Amino acid sequence: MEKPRSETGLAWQRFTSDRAALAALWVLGALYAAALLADVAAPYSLKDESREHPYCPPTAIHLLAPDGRLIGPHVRGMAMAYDTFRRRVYRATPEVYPLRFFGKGEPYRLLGFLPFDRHLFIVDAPGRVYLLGADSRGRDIFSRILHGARVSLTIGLFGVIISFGIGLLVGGIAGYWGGRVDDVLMRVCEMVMMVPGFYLLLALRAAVPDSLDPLQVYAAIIIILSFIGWAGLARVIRGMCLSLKERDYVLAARTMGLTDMEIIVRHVLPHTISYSLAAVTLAVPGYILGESALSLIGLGIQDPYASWGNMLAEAMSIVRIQFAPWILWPAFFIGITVLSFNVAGDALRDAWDPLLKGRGEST
Amino acid sequence: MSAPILAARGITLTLREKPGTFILEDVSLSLARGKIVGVVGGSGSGKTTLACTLLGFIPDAMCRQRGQVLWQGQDILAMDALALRRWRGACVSLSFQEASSAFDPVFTVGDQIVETIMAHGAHEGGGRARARERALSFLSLAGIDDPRRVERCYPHELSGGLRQRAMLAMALCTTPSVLVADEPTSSLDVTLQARLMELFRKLRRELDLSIVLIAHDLGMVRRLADELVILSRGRVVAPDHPDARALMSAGEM
Ligand SMILES: Nc1ncnc2c1ncn2[C@@H]1O[C@H](COP(=O)(O)OP(=O)(O)OP(=O)(O)O)[C@@H](O)[C@H]1O
Ligand SMILES: [Mg+2]
Repeated sequence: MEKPRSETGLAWQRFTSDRAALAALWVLGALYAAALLADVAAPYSLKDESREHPYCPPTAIHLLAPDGRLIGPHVRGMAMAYDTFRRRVYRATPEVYPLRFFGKGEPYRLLGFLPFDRHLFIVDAPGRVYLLGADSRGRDIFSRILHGARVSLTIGLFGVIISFGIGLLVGGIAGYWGGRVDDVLMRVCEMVMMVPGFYLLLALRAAVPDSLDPLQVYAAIIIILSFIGWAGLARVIRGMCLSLKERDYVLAARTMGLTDMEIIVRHVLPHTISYSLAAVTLAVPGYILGESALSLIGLGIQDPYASWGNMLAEAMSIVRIQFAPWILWPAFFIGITVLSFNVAGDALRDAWDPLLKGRGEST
Repeated sequence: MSAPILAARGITLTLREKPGTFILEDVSLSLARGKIVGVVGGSGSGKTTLACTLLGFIPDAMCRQRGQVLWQGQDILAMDALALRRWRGACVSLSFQEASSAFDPVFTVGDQIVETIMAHGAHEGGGRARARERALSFLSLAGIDDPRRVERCYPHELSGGLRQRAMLAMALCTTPSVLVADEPTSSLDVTLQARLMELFRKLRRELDLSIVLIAHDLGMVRRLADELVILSRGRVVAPDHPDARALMSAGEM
């Protein structure tokens, strides 16, 4: 492979030589791919439910039929009953429902437009396959995690993109222009940062009407989260720009008659990339957690739509967690997503840092 | 003598923090069209500060007490920001002493020259390809033998001498009428210095370029300049001043 020459190339090489970072990247890649292809990967749709299977435990996948013959992967029927303590128990029945890979199931639109009805795996009704168990209404937690990933994973991404766009621009302008503009912008930032995040989140959510359709709620959450997030970045970027604008190449660009905006965008902000890229990555978890928190307390995405946060609303009772611990699966996914973003963010920062030092020595 | 194209009149700068410290004191200079004025002075005598002031940049740490910079009789320090921006680069450009820090390390040298050309419309509306061609022609004009390689290099991949010539190419690519060159030969070997001197002569002859040539010793400036300004501790001194003599004798050696 040719040795990369640009700073970005070198940083990328250093990043990819970090095992943990690479693993985190794969995990995130897999999660986002799963979110994108949720319709195919999930056996059931968001609307699907089964009244006969509340809190059904994860279904076992069998290879051998009840009589001992090898018939390939299948699930057994599940019958609900109550034991002597009036606790709900499930017993396997002898019916056999083979797993059908890429079998026909509920129709949907692939990627939002292609009509399609195949699912990665599915069993014929009335059989049910609950890879990770079912919730109170007999809905498949695995399917809902996949559908919910669309909300939970993209809210973080869009939120971060918007607030970092604002943060970079405001920080760049304040730092580069200085003076009155800087004063005003920084006071605004401080005002946003002054209020503790979660209260601001609640207050802003309260300002948005309740009767919104799910897409509007989704957009509102993104806007609310980015409104909270931009200020911290703007302040740091401003600090960096204060020193960056003293660089000779900025003066050089000014002597060549470039406009202030051209200089900010082309010769000042790119130098904050080492910081901002890492900061962006490290900020995503905050947005994911913010959405989860809102949805958890019922102010975010509403049933029947799924997000990892609103799925966890069921897990707010310790009793339920005791008899159906699988309802905690969304927390696991939030956990690994947050962890992966943190690991990747740290590695990004490390990948850029030695380079900055190296450049200082070489010139 | 014709009216000067660029002139400094009684420039006096003090440090903002310590108003008693003069960085430049009553410095005047006048450059006629097609002439070369040499500015010579020891290290720290205020040459770079003067160069910046000629382009209308007063360093943030300093404060102007008196003085004007006149472009064809018009005070540029009183010009509004927009006019000043158009004027810079198009009419006057500066080639920096520190070529290594004058290029943005994030972009290739070629990209930065192209950006400058496009910002001034110096590619005559021919699009990016035309601007790139022009960048190449100026790189070779500045004495670079393999402009195609240099153009694709990041600043840190070039030798000090190559960077300095690339810097010069960037300063010239908008065909300004005045070039302020801050120690353009400090990291070049003797043959290249001689070639650069030849280039300055040629530019003056063919493009009618006027040059403010800054150097810390008299060596090459003396042969090229039509007029000399000797700076010592922020003041213009006469050629028989002891400091000026020291510079002169250094040039003889
Ligand atoms: N930002 C600044 N803050 C305070 N003093 C400064 C600043 N920039 C320059 N000076 C002072 O101004 C004086 C002139 O500096 P200048 O860079 O113009 O010298 P120079 O003649 O270009 O020197 P050299 O030949 O080493 O490049 C020096 O004494 C320097 O210490
Ligand atoms: Mg200097």
